Amino acid sequence: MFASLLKQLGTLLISLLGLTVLTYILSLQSNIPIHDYKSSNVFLQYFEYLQFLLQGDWGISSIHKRSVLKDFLQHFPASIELIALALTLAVTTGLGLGILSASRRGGWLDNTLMTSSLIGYSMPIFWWGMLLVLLFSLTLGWTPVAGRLDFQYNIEPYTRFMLIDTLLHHNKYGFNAFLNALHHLILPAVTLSTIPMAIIARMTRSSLLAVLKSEYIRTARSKGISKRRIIWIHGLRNALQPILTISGVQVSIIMSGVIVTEYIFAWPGIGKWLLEAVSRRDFASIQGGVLALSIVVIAFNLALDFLSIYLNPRLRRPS
Amino acid sequence: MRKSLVTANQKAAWVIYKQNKGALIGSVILALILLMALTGPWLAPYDPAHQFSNKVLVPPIWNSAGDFDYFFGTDDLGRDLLSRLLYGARLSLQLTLTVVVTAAITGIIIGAASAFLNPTLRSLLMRIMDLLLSFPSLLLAIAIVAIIGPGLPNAIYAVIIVLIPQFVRITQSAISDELNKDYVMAAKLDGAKRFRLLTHHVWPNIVPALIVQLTFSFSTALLDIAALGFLGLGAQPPMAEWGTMLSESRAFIQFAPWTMTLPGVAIFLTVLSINLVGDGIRDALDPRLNR
Amino acid sequence: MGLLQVENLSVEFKTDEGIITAVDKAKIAINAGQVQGVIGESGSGKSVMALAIAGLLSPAATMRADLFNLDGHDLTRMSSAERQKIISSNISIIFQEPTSSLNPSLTIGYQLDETIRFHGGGTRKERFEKSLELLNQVGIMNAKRRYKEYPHQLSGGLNQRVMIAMALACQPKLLIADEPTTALDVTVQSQILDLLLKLNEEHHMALMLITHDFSILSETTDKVYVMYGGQIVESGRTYNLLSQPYHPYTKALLDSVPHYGMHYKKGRRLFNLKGSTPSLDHLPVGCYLGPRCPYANKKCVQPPELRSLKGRKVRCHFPLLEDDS
Repeated sequence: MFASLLKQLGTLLISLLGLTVLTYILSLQSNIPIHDYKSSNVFLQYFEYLQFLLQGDWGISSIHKRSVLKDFLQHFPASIELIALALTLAVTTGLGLGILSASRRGGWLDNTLMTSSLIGYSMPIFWWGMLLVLLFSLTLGWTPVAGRLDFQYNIEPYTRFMLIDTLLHHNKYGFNAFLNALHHLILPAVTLSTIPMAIIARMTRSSLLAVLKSEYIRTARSKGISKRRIIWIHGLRNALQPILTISGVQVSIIMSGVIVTEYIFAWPGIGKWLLEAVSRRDFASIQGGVLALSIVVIAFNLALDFLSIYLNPRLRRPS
Repeated sequence: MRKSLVTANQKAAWVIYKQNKGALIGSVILALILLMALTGPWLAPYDPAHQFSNKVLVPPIWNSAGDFDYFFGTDDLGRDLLSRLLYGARLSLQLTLTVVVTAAITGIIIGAASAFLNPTLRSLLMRIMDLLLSFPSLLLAIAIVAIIGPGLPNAIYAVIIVLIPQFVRITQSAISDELNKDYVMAAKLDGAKRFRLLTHHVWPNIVPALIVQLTFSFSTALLDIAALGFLGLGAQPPMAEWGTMLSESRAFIQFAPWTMTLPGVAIFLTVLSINLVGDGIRDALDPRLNR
Repeated sequence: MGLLQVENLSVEFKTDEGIITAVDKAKIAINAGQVQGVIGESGSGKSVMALAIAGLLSPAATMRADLFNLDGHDLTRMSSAERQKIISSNISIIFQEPTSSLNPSLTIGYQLDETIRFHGGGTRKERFEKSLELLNQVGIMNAKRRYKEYPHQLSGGLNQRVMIAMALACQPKLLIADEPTTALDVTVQSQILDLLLKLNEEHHMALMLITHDFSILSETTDKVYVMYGGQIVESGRTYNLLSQPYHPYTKALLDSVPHYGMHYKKGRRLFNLKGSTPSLDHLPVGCYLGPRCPYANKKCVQPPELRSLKGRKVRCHFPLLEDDS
C-alpha cells in the first residue's frame, strides 16, 4: 500500500509539473506580461512563475482588471454547485438503473434502459441542453431558461453557493429563494449528468452481471441468502471496482460538459468565465482557469484512487 | 499457418459482428450518411450560402406553413436548411476524417519511436500521455485554441492534439508487452532488430485495438469539432458546419425550433451510428468482452 | 432412513449448437449420515449433478426429475422459491476453489455471521460466539484474528476450512463436497478429508464426496457412483466395486491409478482406454464408452440400460463378471 501511495504521489507531481508548464506557456502568450520576472532565462522564469502561483498571484485579468484568483474564486462556487448536483444525479441514477437492468436481465425494462443509455452516451451535450430548454423551459414552462436566481431576490453572496446563501436569507424570503435557486439548478444539472449517467448505467450493468456469475455468488446462493442481499451486498461491492476505474473519465466528461452547459444556460460559473476569456484573449484568466479546472480534475482522480483502495481489501491489506 | 489463423479470426469476428443487431443498424445509418456526404453537392437543391431574403425562417414541409421548395425549411437568413445540412455532412465528415487519420498516424509514430528510447524517457513519455489523457478533452482543446487563437484550422489542430495520446498509448502498451516477453528480455536488441520487432510482432497486436480506437476517436472528434463550432471557437459563420449552425440557431429556438433540431439530429445520428459500429467491432474483435 | 432420493434427474443446457445433456437420468439415494462418493473425469457431469441437487444451476440450464425427495419433502411439487428454501436449510456445498468461492470484499467473519443470521440467527454477540466456535470446530487457530481477515489473506486450505465452517453454520443434513481437495497441497488434502469425515461422524451429517481420484474414496465412502458422459455407469458398495469392477470404464479408472487396485502385478501393462473422453455435445451412438472400449462389439451400438447385478447397478451389455487377470 505504501508503494502504491508513493506511486500516486509521483504521478501527482508529474501531473502538476506538466500542467504548470502548459499554463506557463499559456501565460507567455499575453501581450501585457502577466508577471514581472527577474530572470531572463526561461527555466528560471518558470520557477518564478511557480512561486507567483503559490503566493496566490495568478496575474491580473486584462478585461476585468481584477485579480485572476479572486475572479476565479467568485465564479467557482456556481460551477461546483452545478457539478456536485450533476455528479450526484449521474452516480445515483446511473448505479440504480444499472442495478435494475442487471437484475431484470433480458426483460423489456433492461432492453429499454440499455437502448436509452446508448442514446444517452451518443448525445451531443450542447444539443441536449438546447432540447431540454426547448421542451421544459419554452414549451412547458416548467423551468427557468437561464441564470441562477430570479431578479426579485436580493441575495448577499456570503458563500457564493446559491443554495446555501438563499438558506442563509431564510428570515427575508423563507424557503422561496432556496426553492427558486433549486428550480434554476435542475435543468443544467440534468443536462450535465445525462452522458455520465448513461455510461455509469451501462458499466454497472455489465460489471454486475459479470460479478453475479462468479463462484462466491454461487456460494452465497447456496447459503439461501435473499436475491436482493446478493445483489446489494455481495454483488455491488465487487462490481464497484471497474465502475470506479471509469469514474475518472466521467469527471473529465463532466468538466468538459460544464463549460458547454454554463454557456447554454448563461450560468455564471468557471466555464462561462473561461470561454469569455478565450474569445477576448485574456491570457491571465485563461491560464488561471485552465490551471484551476485541471487541479480540480486531478484532485477528483486522486480521491477516486483512494476510494478504490479503500473499497478493495486486496489493495488495502495485502496478504 | 499464421495467415490462415488470421483469416479464421476475421471470419469469426465477422460472424459475431453480423449477429449484432445494433451494429448492423449503425452500419446502415452510417453508410447512408456517408453516401449523403459524398453526393451532397449534387443532391443539394441550392447553394448553402445563398440567402432567399423573402423566405426567412420557413418551417419544414411537415409543418402546415411549410414550403415544398424548401424541404427542411430555411434559417434566419433565408438559407435552405437541407442544402446546408448536406454540405455540413460533407464538411463535418471531411474534417473528422482528417483529424482522426492525422492523429492516428502521429500517435503511432510517436509510440513506435518510444521503442528506441531508453526506459526512463519512455516511462516519462508515458506519464505525459497519461496526463494528457486525464485532461477533459474539450478543456484541453479550448486551452490549445486559446494559445493559437480561435478559428476552424486552429480548432482542427487542437482536436488532433487531443486525440494523439490515445494512439500513442495503444502503441506503447503493445510495445511494452512485447519487450517484456522472455525472448526479448534475453537478447539485447539493436535498432534493426527493434524495427523488425515493431513490424512483425507489435503491429499485428495493435491492429484490433487500433480499429476500435479509430472508430471511437471518430465520434470524439466529430463531437469536439462541433462543440468548438458551437462555442464560437471553431468553424465561423457563415460556414455550413453542424456545430456552428446549432450555435446560430440559439436565438431562434422558440420561433424556429427546426433550425436547432435538424443539425442536432444530424450530429446525434452520426455519433450514434459510429458508436454502434464501434461497439460491434469491439465485441467482435474481443470476444472476452462479450456479454 | 432415506435423506435424499432422486430419480431420473436430467440437466440440459441450451447452446448455439443444440441441446447438451450434461446429466442423463441419474438416480441417487443417500441415507442420513451416510458417506457416498461420485467419481468421474472432468466433463462427466458429476459437478453439474451436484449443482442440480444443491439448486445452484445457472438460468441457462433446465433440470427435470421424476422424483426429488429431500428429508421428507417432495421438491418436484414446489415453487422454485420454496424449493430453494428447503434445499438451503438441508444441503450445504463446498467447492474446488475455496478462495474464489469466498467473497473477496467481505471479511471471513462477515460471511460467517451472515450465514448464521440466515440459519438460526441470534443476537450479534451470540452469532459472534457461534462463529468462533465454528472456526474452532474446523480446526482454525486464532479464530478471533481470522474472523477479521479477508479471504486473500488466508491460504487455500484455511479458506476451505472457512467454507466448511460456513457449511456447518447452515446445520445441513447433507454436505456436498465437489472436489474439495483438488486445488490444495497434498499435505493439506488429507487434513481436509479427515475434517470432513470427523464432522460427518460428530454431526451425523451425510457426505457426498465428488472427486476424480479413487484414492480419496476407497477407505472413506460406503457407496460409490461412477459417472461417464453424463450417465451413472456403475454404482455399488465401495469395497465390492473396487475389488471387482463390473464396468470396463470403472476398471480402466482403477487401473489408471498406479500401485493401486488389487489386480496390479509387476510387468503388467496398465489397462488404458484408447482415445479421449468425448465431449458432451459429440457423444457416440449407443454405449458412450463404445468406441474406446476394448470389449465392445456390435451390440454396443444399442444404448445399454442401467441394470441390477449382484447388488450393484451396471450400465453395460458385457459386464466383467469373471476375473480376467
